[in-house]
Amino acid sequence: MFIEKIERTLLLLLLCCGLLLSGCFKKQNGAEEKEPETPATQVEGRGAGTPAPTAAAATPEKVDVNVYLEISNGMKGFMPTAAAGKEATTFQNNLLQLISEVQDGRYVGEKGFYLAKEDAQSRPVLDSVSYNTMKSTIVSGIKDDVRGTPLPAMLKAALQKSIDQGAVSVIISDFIHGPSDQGQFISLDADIRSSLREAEHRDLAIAILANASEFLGTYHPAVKKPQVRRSLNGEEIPYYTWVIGPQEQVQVVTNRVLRNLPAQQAYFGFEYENIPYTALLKEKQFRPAGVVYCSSRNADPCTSVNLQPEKQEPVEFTIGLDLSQLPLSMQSIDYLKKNLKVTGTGSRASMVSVTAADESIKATPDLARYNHFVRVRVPELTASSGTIAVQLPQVTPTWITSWSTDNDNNPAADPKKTYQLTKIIDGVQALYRDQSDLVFSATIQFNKAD
Amino acid sequence: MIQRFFSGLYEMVLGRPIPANFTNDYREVVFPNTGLMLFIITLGIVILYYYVLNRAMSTGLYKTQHWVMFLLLNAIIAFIIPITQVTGNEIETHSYTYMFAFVNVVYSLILFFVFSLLLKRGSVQAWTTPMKWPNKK
Repeated sequence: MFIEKIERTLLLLLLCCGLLLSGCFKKQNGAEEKEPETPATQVEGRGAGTPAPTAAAATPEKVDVNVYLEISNGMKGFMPTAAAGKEATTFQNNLLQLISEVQDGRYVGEKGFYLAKEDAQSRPVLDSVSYNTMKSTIVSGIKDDVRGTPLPAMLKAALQKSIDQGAVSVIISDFIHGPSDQGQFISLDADIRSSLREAEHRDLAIAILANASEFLGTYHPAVKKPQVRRSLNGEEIPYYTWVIGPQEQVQVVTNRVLRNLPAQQAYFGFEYENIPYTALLKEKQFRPAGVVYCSSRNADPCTSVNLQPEKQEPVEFTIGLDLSQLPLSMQSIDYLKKNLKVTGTGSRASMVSVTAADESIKATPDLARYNHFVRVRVPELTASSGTIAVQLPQVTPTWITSWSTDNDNNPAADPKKTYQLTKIIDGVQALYRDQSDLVFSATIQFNKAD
Repeated sequence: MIQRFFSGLYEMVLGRPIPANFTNDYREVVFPNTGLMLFIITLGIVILYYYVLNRAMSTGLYKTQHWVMFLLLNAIIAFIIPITQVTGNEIETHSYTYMFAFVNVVYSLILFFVFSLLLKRGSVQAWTTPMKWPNKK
């Protein structure tokens, strides 16, 4: 009797315990399910949660391309007449690849091929030709006799034509200015600027790719002393591919149509407002140091943190960036290491390291969205709230100075130089003076932790 | 409000959560959940002991050793809950986690004792368990 009673009691006790516990755990689940909603809406409100879709929508499927090949006498050496047993020049190989990609590639919509020359009055002429005509010009050389290249005028005419047709301009030239009046050399930068004025007005970006090719034939230097022309036999002379158009379309051309880009690249007017980024605070691969945590528990991406550096324990954490929209040369770790800056307001922030995603990171779902990781150190706060920003400033690449010269008369002694290239580039840069100094900026808000 | 109360209650003894990157998980989820469950479960077990087992059912579990049994049962639950909370929210375990569980046990002992003092006068068989004070009869 008594034992039965005890048994019943214990059963009841178990039942009560079970009920109590299950009730409590349910409550916890309810709290978990509810909570993600609030931070998510907050993020949307700040507008930080939406960069990914806009970035995807901005990349066009197909672009219209106009290819302009300059055919003055100075270009003849790049395109010597083909003969059996003679190897094609780098210029010929690359150009053939380029125009065939434009002609048949699946990223190009409408296409146009133009041979750029000047008439007797030194006015630029753009001859619309077929793909085959351009191909045979590249393979078997230039037949016409075209004296000089009025560089600014040619750029202007090409740009205007492309703007009228809504196409991206791809201009291939040696960019050796050949004005009818030597005095124009002095105003080269201003002339370049005014010839490209439309690009500024229409918010177009310019990519400049420099390459060098063997040159076989008569070379016409800009500086005519001591010799007006020289005969070269395989010395390397630079040539340039300028791609002008809306930023996204220029990128389609450089990444998908041109593909194998030379190491010498320069980008002007490129700006990225919606780089996806986040502070990575809970990932095992990027363990933070010191007191730092995301202000909102479930924010993704986390763009606001609380931190509290101590003297013995400075705060360190990693910011993940998705730089896949940027030109490839800007995505290289060496470039980023050299140029990336971490600045702070209300804090002394500095950059510890930049790394690219490796295989194990690409395999982690939460991290796969980001391809570069910047480790940031904050040893001290100077205010109770502020910002920490990872920024990439617009920089003029160093190769431009080393590819520029004030005397191009003897390319054999001083190869791979173009007369007054810096001045030409100065003219281009002047177009974008009023634009932001930054290619992108990823800003993390912070508050002092309580 | 409740979040702040429980965060304050635990951080008063334990200090800032470690690892620090999970601070908000502790403050917004783990501390309030654990604290609320501690209150509810402790109150439930005290009511069970005094009003179900020793009033409605007269089971004869009125001795101090029985009371201690329930005190320990509550303490064990109070040790398990913080750990399940921490692991359940995908927070890295750390010695802080076990210190937290230990502090929760201490709180459970205190709370069980306080609830016993407050509620035992309504019990029929166990109104003097664990001791007569402060009831007078």
